[in-house]
Amino acid sequence: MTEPVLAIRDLELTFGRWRRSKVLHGVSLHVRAGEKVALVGESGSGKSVTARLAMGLLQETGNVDVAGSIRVDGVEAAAGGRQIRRLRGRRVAMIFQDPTSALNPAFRIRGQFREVLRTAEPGLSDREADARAEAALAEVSIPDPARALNSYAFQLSGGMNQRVMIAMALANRPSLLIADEPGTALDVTVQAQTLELMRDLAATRGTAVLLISHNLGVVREFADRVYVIYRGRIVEHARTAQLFSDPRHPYTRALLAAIPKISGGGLPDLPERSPDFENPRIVHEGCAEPWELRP
Amino acid sequence: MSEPILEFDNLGKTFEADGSRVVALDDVSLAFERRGCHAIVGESGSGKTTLANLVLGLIRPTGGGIRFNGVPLPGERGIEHRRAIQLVQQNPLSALNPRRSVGASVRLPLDVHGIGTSSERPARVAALLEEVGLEAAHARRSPRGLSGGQRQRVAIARALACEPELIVLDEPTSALDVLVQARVLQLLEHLRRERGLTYLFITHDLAVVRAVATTVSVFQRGRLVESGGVEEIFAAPRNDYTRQLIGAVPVVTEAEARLRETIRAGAPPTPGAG
Repeated sequence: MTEPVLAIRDLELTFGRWRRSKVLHGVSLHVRAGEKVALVGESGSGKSVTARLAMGLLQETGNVDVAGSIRVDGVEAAAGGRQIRRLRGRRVAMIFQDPTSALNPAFRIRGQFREVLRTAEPGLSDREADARAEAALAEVSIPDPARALNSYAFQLSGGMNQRVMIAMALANRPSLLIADEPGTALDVTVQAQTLELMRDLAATRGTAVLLISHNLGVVREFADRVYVIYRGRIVEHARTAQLFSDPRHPYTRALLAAIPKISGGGLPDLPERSPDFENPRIVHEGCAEPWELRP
Repeated sequence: MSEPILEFDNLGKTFEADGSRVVALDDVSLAFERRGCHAIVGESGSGKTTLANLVLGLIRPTGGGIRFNGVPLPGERGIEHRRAIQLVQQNPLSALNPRRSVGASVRLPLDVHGIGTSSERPARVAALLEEVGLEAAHARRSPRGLSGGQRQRVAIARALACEPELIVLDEPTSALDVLVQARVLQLLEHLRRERGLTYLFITHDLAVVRAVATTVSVFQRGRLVESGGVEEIFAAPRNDYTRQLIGAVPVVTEAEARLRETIRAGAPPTPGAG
């Protein structure tokens, strides 16, 4: 089998020099080409820092201590540095929760789009860049791409900005797309459209997609496989159907029970925290990490 | 039915600025029963926040009116209305003054409305904190040192300090993690029963509505499109937009997925299914 596009192995992360706090305690996960994988957890679980480490973003802020390995598209990224920086925006891309604040309010979409395209092809002419940007915007169903290019982010709706950001993320045909709570700041209907676009992308272009989310409902509808993370540790790993029909870890079970259901039923009496939530990782059948398999 | 606690009579609100007009709320008539949890749902731009602001008296209607306990609002008893109708917001960190201790935040409404004597007030603050599941010792803490769920409990205690009849809950658990949300929703339910409170529960989360509300009113672009008991509406929504909203909810169980399919299809659900 070919190497996964993203392979994170025993990742540990510690913040701070003097008052050290460890936020990841050996996280392992992988995403193959064309696969849609979710990393699901609550706030403070370490899901977003895992994504930012994979992009090589967090390493640039300093004051972080990283151990373990992150391989992105064949490049070792755990230590950060030039190699992963060169992949960013080209081979790997990320979309964020709030598209309007992720775009620069002081520049038109046109200029920002040109910059994105030139990270892959520095010599690209303005005319060629604009033509590609229009094509990319049309691909995400923006009705009037030329007008969108001439706009500032604040002139477009949240849904439009989300599409612009996805178009930018996809413009250079990345092999890995990391989506951190995409569209959570937007209405459910826009959120559904965003997931639909990402689903298409994995199916038609073989893009590996890692969805970071706190919403198990969204995960159930989108992902092929799911990692559940709690306080810096993966606690359960399963195919989506396995996880929802047979959740085994006390933490996953508590989460599923605590979610209000449209089919009714009251709210169960559950603790916000429990020592059981820190039970060892449960891996469902057929879900071992590639390096854990015996040859 | 006893006298409703809150009534909207052809309520409307139009915002006008620089020659452009936005109809935020258009000819809404509704009555809310005492001791109920009344959900107001809709997407952004539906008018649900405008509705909350009108009930709180922060803005004035441009058409129709609101009656609270049968009295037009805002009336001569303005301060009394303000005491009787309280607000709990989505983000408790921005709703609480970060420079003020938790105890001072909960005490302020007691001072403003002259509730109890000043020597009684510290004990009253402690009792309120305990009522929402915190400890009296939390009074000395800063809201910044608390978790999101604890902060929301402080905001609830502050609202209760005024001995309100009606609480406007504006997405009170949307910023909370799901396990914390479940606890806060349970607390709100408990308080409603114990104190005989009425809630106007503004949210976009239909699963939360199903779990805690007694009635639901669905808004779309400023218009009321459907209103009724929660069980009836989730069993058989009559309006297309309501169906669309329930049909877009991400679900986690097979029973929910089946119900959602029936609702999307628009057919009345077969008895005994789901």
